[in-house]
Amino acid sequence: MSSVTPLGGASIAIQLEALEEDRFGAELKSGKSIVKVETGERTVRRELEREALEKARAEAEESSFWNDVASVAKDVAVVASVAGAAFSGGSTLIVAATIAGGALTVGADVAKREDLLDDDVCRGLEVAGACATLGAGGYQALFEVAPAVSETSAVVGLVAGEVEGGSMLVAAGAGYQGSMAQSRETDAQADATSASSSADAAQTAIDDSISRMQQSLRNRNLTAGTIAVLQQSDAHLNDELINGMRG
Amino acid sequence: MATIHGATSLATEIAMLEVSADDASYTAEGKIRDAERAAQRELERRQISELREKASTMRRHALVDGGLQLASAAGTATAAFAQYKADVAKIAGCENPTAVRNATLCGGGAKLMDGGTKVSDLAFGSVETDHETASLEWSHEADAAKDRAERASRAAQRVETESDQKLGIVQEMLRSDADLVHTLITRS
Repeated sequence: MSSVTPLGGASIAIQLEALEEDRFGAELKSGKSIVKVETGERTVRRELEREALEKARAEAEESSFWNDVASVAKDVAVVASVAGAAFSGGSTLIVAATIAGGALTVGADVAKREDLLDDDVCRGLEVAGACATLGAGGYQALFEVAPAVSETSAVVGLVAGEVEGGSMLVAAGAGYQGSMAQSRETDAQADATSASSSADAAQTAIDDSISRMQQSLRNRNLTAGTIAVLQQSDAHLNDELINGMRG
Repeated sequence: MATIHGATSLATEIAMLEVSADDASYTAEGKIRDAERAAQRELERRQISELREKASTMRRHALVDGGLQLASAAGTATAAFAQYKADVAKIAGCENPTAVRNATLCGGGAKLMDGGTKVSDLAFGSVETDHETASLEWSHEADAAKDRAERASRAAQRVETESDQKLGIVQEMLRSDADLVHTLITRS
C-alpha cells in the first residue's frame, strides 16, 4: 500500500503533462492559423501598397506633364498680352504695369522651373506680377480703353488678344488636368500609407503570434522537465521503499 | 536536513517572488506596447486623413482655378474682338460705343479674373501646405510611437527571457532538493 501514493503522484503528473500537451497543441494550432491569416492579409496589403505607389508615380508624371503644358501656355499668354498692350498704345501707366506684370510673372515662372531663385523669392515675384496685372486690369476697366492708332495695330491687337485668350484656355485645361492628377497622386499616397499601415499591423500580429508560440514551447519544455523530475523522484522513492520492505 | 530543506525552500520562494515581479513587469511593458501601438494606428489614421483633406482641397483648387482661368480666357478673347471692332469703327471715322463698352468690361474683367487666379493659387496653396505639414507631423509622431512600442516589446521579451531563466533555476533547485532528500533517506 505504501507505494500507492507515490504512484498516484506520478499518475497525476502524467495527467498534468497530458493536459499541458493538449493546451500546447491548441495554442500551436491557433498560432499557426493566426500566422496563416495574417500572412495572407500582409501579402494583400503589400500588393495594394505597391499598386498605390505605382499609381502615385504615374499620376505624378501626368501632373508634371500637364503642369509643364500649362506653364508654357501661361508664358505664351503673358507674352501675347504684353505684345498686345505695347502695340495697341494706351496710357503709359497701363502699358508699363502690363509689361512689368508680364515680366515678373514669366521671370518667376522660368526661375522656378530652372531652380534659379529661392521658392520664396519666386513667390514674391509672382505676387508682385499679379498685383501689377491686377492694377492694370482694374485701372483699364474703370477709367479708360487703350485707343488704336492704326489698322495694323488693331489687327495686331486682335491677333495678340486671341492668342492670349487661346493660350489661357489651354493653360486652364492643362492646369485643371495637372491639378486633378496631383490630387489623385495625393490620394494614391494616402492609399499607400493606409495599406502600409495595415501591412505593418499584420506583420506585428504575425510577430506576436510567433512570440506567443515560442513562449508556449518554452513553458511546455519547462513543465515537461519538472514533471520528468517528479516522475524520476517517484521512481527512486518507490525503489527505496521496495528495497526497504524486502529488508 | 530541516535547515538545508528550509534554505532551499526559502530560495525557491524568493525566486518565485522574482518570477511574480517579472510577470507584473511583463504585463506593464505589454500594456505600454499595446498603448503605443494604438497611438501609432491613430496617428497614422490622422496622417491619412490629412492627405485625403489635401487631395480634396487640391480638387477644389483645380475647379476654382480652372473656372477663373476659363472665364479670363473667354473675357480676353471677347475683349480682343470687341476692341478690334471698336478700333475699326474709329479708323472709319465713327464710334461703336457697344464694342468699346464690351472691350472695356471684358478686358478689365479678364484681367481681374487672372489676378483672382493668382490670389486663389496663394490661398489654396497655403491650405494645401498646412495639410501637408500636418500630415508630416502625424507621420513623424507615428514613427516615434512605433519606436516606443518596439522598445516596450523588446523590454517585455527581455523580462520574459529572464523570468524563464529564473524558472529554470527554481526547477534546478527542486531537483537538487529531491536528490538530497533521496540521499538522506537512503543513508538513514
